Amino acid sequence: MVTTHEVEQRLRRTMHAMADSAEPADLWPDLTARLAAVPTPARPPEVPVTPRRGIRRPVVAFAVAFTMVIATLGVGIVLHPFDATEPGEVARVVSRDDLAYIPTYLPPGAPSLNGSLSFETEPRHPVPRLALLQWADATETRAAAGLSVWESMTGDSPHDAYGEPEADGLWVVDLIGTEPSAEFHVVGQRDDGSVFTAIGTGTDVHPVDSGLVRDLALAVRDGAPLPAELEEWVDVTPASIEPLVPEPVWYFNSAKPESHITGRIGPDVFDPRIELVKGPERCEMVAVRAIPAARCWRENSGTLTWQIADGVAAALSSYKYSADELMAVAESMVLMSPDDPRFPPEE
Amino acid sequence: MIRAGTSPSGAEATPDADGTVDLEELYRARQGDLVRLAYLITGSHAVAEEVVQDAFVKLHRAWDRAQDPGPYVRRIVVNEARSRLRRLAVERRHAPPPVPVVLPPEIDETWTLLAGLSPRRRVALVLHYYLDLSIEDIADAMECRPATAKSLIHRGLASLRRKLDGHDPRS
Repeated sequence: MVTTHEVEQRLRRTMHAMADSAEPADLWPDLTARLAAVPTPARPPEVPVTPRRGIRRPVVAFAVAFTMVIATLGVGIVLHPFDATEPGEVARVVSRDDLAYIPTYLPPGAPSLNGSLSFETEPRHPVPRLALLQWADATETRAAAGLSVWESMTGDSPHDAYGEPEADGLWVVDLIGTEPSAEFHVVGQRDDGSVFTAIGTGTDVHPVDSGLVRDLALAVRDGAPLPAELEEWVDVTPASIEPLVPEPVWYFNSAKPESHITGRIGPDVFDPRIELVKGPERCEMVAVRAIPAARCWRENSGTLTWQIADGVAAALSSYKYSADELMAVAESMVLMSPDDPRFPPEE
Repeated sequence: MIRAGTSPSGAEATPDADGTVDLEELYRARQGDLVRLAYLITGSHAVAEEVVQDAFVKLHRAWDRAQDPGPYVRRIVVNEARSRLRRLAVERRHAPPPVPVVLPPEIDETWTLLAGLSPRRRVALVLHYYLDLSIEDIADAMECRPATAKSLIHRGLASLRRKLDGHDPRS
């Protein structure tokens, strides 16, 4: 058995040996010729503000978010009961005094959250809420149309949380990262019910492009060639296009190793419920899904268990929830740390 | 001689009395390290040199925005190398295998396995185990969160370990 330490030592030796073999030539003259043709701009070029990118601008973002909140809240209040929590229905916790809430819609058979969350009264970042509302709106719309689409947005900043996948049969489109370097995860369900995941990364194109994400997802799902516009920057590794339960992966937040979230996937049901950790009085919830990034293992019963932790689903990380609010979501809670014996040993 | 604007930090390049940092000086100070870094990421000498050349062109263009040219150009190199690596991966899937280079078995095996990692994991491992960057610096170079950088390293190591176990005659 090779230990991690041995791997690290081999890596260091290998990298230094290989780096030593890369003795670069003096290419300054060539570079000089290239630089001579490149004027140094006196100031950074103006970046055109489009609605999508302009969402980053706080004023515009807030205005749009506020409009969306009002509109969606109004529709939600009229159309949906507040206490619906069964899968397949809209589950909401709504306070008339608090425009902040997370609607969770759970199409039958899709990942289930089994509950609702409410934000703190004071919204910290209106734009992620906008995204969440759009998410809910899009989900409900698609559900009404008979599509099972579940979309979630993640990111450290508001503009990461955006997207509008429209691919029939897709569950999750998960956008991570920031321009110019970004990564997104796509989880889809094929017609035969099997699940696939794909990870795309890009450096030249803003990942939050619904068309590209949709095209990628469809291409992956159907085994078709990637759209030409994606080939230059999207990496979809065949190994990642496998049924769920890929290589064990888990995210770890050293600052809060106790706040893990677990869920279970049964043989016939894909029901990654959130089982939140009963942490300190107030804990920050940073992960509610990111299923492809979960650590999965199979128990003797045949049940698959997955685990995710901090570092994922940052769309919700901007908000802090009380422990009670978190508890209200969870059906059961499991406290795990990396040293927890219930963790399966590393492969 | 090409000179660029004022920068608060010139990395290894020494600012002149007027506060300017000489691009050539920075290039000569950093080119070797950056080419090696790009090579470890891409696995190609030629591509690595191209990446670094391109990075300095971009740095030159963006000099006014580069608060710290050293880390800035390194970030460009990392991004560019990663981008090239993805393209190389596609090309290599359709190209004949490269002529094997005579290397010690351990180096050869590890290098081959490293090449099989995803670009992001490979980059994270190179930054960590070759440049000895901290998690925070890796996150900065890769433009991701520290938790993501840490995860990439963890996952990359775990993947290598599994593969090495598969090759390990002791296992």
